[in-house]
Amino acid sequence: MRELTFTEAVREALAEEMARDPMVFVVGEGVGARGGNFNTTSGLYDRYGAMRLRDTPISERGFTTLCTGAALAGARPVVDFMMVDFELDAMGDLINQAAKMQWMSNGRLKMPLVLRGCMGILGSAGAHHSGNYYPLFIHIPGFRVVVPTTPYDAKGLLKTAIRSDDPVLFLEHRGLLGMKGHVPQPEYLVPLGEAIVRRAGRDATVVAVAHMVHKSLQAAAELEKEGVSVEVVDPRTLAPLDMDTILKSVHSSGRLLIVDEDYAPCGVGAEIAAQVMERAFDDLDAPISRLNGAFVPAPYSPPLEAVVVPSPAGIAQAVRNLLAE
Amino acid sequence: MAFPITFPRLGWSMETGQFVEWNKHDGDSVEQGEILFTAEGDKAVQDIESMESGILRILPDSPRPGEEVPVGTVLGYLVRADEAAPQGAVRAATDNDISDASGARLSDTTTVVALRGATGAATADAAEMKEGPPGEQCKDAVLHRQSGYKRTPSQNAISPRARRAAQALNVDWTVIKGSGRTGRIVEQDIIEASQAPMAGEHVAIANMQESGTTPVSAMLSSEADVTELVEFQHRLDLFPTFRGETVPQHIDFVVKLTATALGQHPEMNGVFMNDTVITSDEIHIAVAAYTAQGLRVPVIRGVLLKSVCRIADELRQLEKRAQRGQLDTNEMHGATFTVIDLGTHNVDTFTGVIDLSQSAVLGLGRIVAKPVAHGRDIVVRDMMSLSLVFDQRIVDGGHAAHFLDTIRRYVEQPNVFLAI
Repeated sequence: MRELTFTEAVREALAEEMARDPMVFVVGEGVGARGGNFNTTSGLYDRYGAMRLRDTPISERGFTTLCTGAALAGARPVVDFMMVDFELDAMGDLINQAAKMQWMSNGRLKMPLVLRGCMGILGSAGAHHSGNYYPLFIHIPGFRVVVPTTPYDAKGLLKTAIRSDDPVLFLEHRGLLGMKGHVPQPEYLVPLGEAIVRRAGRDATVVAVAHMVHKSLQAAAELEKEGVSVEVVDPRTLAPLDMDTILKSVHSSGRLLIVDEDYAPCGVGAEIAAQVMERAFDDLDAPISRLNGAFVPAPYSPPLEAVVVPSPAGIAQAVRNLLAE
Repeated sequence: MAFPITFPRLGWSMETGQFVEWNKHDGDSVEQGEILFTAEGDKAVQDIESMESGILRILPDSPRPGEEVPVGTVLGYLVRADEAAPQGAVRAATDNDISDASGARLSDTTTVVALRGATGAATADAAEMKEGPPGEQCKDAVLHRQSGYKRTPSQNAISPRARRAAQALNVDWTVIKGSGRTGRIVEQDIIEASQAPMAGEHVAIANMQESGTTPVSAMLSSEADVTELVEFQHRLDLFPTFRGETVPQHIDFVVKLTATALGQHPEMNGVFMNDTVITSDEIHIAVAAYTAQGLRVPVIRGVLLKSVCRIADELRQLEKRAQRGQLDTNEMHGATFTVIDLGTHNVDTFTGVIDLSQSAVLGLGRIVAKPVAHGRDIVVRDMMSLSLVFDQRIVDGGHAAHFLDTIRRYVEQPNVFLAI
């Protein structure tokens, strides 16, 4: 069985799409000869050169807007922003231009823009390098937001993202970059907007985002020993969100916990809870529960960083609390 | 289009100013960019340019020179030659009027408080903000959990799911004590209160026992030549990669064909409630099975809309869960008709008990190879007996016999009638 790391799988996806379509090119800091700060483009510069692997100065707004224009002109740019915190610099362009252009041109213009990079709290990266921020993008009409959790999904979803004519945020959690997993050799795509049930269960439904999927699976394994059966749902795409899978699971279990490293206010959990309440009120046997990262900027100090993020033990306790409701 | 001329905001915190004098007269033609009037703010006197071209119409009650004027007050209009100025007293411009000064101002103190709580960032009115030690600001920022609001319960609370279960199982939840954290009644409490190891069985049998006395039941039986059905099913069995799905069994075919027959005989899909007959447009069939815990009747909903393969899939899953006692309440309710396959227990005919909510039950006997007459010859065919127990209050014997015959015909030629 062929195993690749998450980073290798994503790189393979990028390489395949660049080979398939000459209009795909990458823009970002250090993506050229350096091969990307997190090895996102290693080896590609030797094959395609500076035309398609373009190093930029530290100017996220500049190079993102440049890619917005390139996408309008018919290219398929991939903005490698390294960390989502940096990409906030380009929010004006992203929200006012990239997200709206297809509407404002009445569909005559497309926006095949992929914005990829890492997110998440790990390794004492500090307050300016630990952002998640995806609710900002989920909240704006026009964006697709993808949060793969396995090498298999990462490869399939990036390929789909690059082939999409919409602006796609492809967010890779730091805790997953080194994760190894099975990646088949033959070409495959993973569609946007489809959740997957990572673990079947009957007593409670846990919807987890990105790195929290793995922590939730650990918690579920612990709870199994106590006779508690937990279903773990991995949305994989946050915009558009696959509510059908979640609703089906809640219909069966009656109890829902949403685990998200990002902050609670107006987050993914809030959106899912509102939709479940609206569409499956009578399926609920207990109030919907949310477990989020602490509502503070990420600390640098290791012991503080450890407690602001949900842990498997914390998730297990949240499930127990939910069952006691 | 009349353009209002408003008294401008000349400073960030200016609320009123002094109108000095008009530079043009009422009725004058004004070009865009020409000076219209002079205004005085907190700090300076300023000549105000016209933003538009047109004929100046000064409002009759517009300010006199030297008068104190609130910012936004409409002084007059610029109109086209053929236009009249809108009538109206001098008033402060609303957000909808065209204004030539900047708009929004962060003066609402509640907004400032909210911002302070959420971000701790400086606002336009920084002087008003009290700086607290960082810890306090963090505490402000934690939403909802710190709120002091506590809901006073008026009576026992019940979860929506439990309320639905109580309705389905005929349980009076107002007298139950809940096991939820706040004393809330949850689904499990309802199930336990209906006093059966599996509430579904309790209700199903209770309904069925009652139906022994209330409906007026009669039984009709028939025998179907299912040789073609058996052959069809065998062929499917042998078919390679059958979409990777469950291979349908004869019960799945019969369920689909019964639904088709019910479509032709809607009076058989009826319910007798409160002395009236209610026929249903939708066809949901309960397929009875005997399990270790007793009789279980899982329901396949919307049978007509589902393929035989889908019915097979669903039924296998439901049967599996029924065996494990894992069916939930809505999987056991809502049927408009029941089918019971007793062939697995080597039984041929049966006098079924009608569920209170339905008008008939169809029993399937075992499939047995028998010698039968075809013309004057004897041939061996696979035969299955069909027993129809029906409620005579709803359906008369003639209709029931006709319905049974329809089922027999359909079951005997599945190739034809599955295509309907």
